Amino acid sequence: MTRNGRREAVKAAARTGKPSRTPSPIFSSEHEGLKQKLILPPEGVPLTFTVATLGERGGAFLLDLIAIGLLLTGVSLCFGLVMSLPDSEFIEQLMAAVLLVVFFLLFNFYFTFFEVRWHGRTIGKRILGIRVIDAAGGQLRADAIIARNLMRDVEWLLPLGIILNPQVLWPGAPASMALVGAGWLVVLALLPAFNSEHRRVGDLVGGTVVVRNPKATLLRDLAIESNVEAATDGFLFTAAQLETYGVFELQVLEQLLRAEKPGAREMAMVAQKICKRITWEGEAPATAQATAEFLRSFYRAQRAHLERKLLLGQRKEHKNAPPSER
Amino acid sequence: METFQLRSTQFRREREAAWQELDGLLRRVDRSGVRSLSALELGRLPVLYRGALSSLSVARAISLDRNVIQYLQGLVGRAYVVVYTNKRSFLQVVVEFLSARFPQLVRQYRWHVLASTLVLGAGTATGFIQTLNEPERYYSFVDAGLAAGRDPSATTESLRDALYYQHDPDGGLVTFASFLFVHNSKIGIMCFALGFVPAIAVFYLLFTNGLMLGAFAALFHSRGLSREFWAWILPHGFTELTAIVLCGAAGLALGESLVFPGASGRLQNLARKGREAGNIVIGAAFMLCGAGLIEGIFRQMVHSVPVRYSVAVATALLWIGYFHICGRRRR
Repeated sequence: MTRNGRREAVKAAARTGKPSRTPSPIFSSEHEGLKQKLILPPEGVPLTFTVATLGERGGAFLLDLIAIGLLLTGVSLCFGLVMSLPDSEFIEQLMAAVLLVVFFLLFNFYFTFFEVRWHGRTIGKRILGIRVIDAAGGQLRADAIIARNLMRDVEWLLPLGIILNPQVLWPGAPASMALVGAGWLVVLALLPAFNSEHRRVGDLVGGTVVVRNPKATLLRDLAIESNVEAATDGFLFTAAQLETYGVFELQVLEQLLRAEKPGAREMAMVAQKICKRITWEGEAPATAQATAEFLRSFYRAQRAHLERKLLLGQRKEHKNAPPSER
Repeated sequence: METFQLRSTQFRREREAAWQELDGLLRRVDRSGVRSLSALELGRLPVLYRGALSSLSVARAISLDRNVIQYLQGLVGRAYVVVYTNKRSFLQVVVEFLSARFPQLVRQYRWHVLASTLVLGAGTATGFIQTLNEPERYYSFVDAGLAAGRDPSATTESLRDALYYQHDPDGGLVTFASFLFVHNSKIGIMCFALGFVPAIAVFYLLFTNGLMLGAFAALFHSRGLSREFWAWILPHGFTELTAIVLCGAAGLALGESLVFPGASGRLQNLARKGREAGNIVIGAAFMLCGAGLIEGIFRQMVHSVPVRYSVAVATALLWIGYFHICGRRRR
């Protein structure tokens, strides 16, 4: 498949395969406002990752700088110790030479080394729970990691050097060149702030993107739970009543039922609204417990109804969606 | 009491054990690395990953349980980053790279290498001619720090001395060698990274380095020291200049991918070329390490001009052979 064809496939999958994009207004989950990155692994099932925020990326970078600083200090201390032992000029020179190379390697290849070793994570990224992945959904290869980290030089090391000493540009460069360096630093360092996936120059060159480590826990199936409890008094809903809502409302209700401490007032309010909307003819639930039971059985009935229609190829996205005629 | 079950509930019940197994394996990989898994578990990993992926695909189609879909999404995402990653050790990557991938890439980018050689050559020629005509120009081409007293005001005798003895007050040969390596690698990395600012900066860097070389050559030439000068510079110079040229070629490739994206999108093209070009820079860094050793140690200890020339020829043959032969697929 060509690259363009693949991109189209991902887009198409995004349109059809993903559940409602609009999160609930009451229970704005922690995913709200966070950009999702859709990738297509070789198996062809689209996956979404949460793009790491600017704060997380900046924080990880600072932590890595601190780590580099600590490593450099540690190495220097060790070498200082060795150098102070024998009074040989040769060893002293050798140590100085090795130290120079170690500093260079640490400064330039710290990120590359850890990202190759830990599958796209450095010390800072590990602590903050983010990682590098391939933006096209392929394997994160070593050469992508190398390329994305070589660009750090042009992103901040070089402009910083120019600001501190404009002479690095050419002998006799005027001090005003420091301003050019500052402008450069600002433009390249702020690039992640101006694209939705927060990619820096290195990410563009390496074809990578930094995302949060996905984590989600499997909770109990609400459909089973309500089956046992609601069977006692049995709220029964007619097919016409279940035609009212769509997938979006069902999943908002799911979030309400799964909330750690659902407020009694909110539950009552939602139950009241549902009763009104579906023109519930039975007795409206009065106690908090009855409300919970009512909502659970409604959830179960509604889910059964919508899933049955789903099997027939009719997906009703939300309550205002026109009935699908196919 | 369970008279009838939702299809999605049934689906979840059938597959949940496999999900949990995968979850457990991934938890261990996160904590203590892929190596903590036994061979058997390692074999299970991709199987379970594909299973979970198919579960996710089915769940999206038949289930409206948001939690299940989110959980599978996260589970498959975690498995994906473990399954599709670089699995070889750091050392294996290095060996494979040096024995095959690096020369392959250089052959692939031979036109870029040629272009950047031409730019460097043009710079050298310009610097040479200009300085020969007007020795004062030397100062605008060569940085005072790098010249270290080797400028037109120096006597012929002191220039000759400079070719044989390095006056390095506070460091020995080894220190000098590693200083050169670090200095040159920085220039190389810069050459590559600047390609992102569409290649113009690469031309600038290559050209100015050429100017410097040409100015040096002209200075020594004007004192009748040409033969000794090239004997001094070529043993390490061939390796070093080749490496710089390769970095320049990588930078050009990067700039080219931005200006002429070709059939694919600009960003995709940049990503592809960027990886390949970045690899060339790493290879060049290895070469510069070798050049630094020759420059810092060999050059200071061997003063015979014929020996210096033969070493220069030997390195040239070595690199030409390496880039020509290594990594070709056997038929």
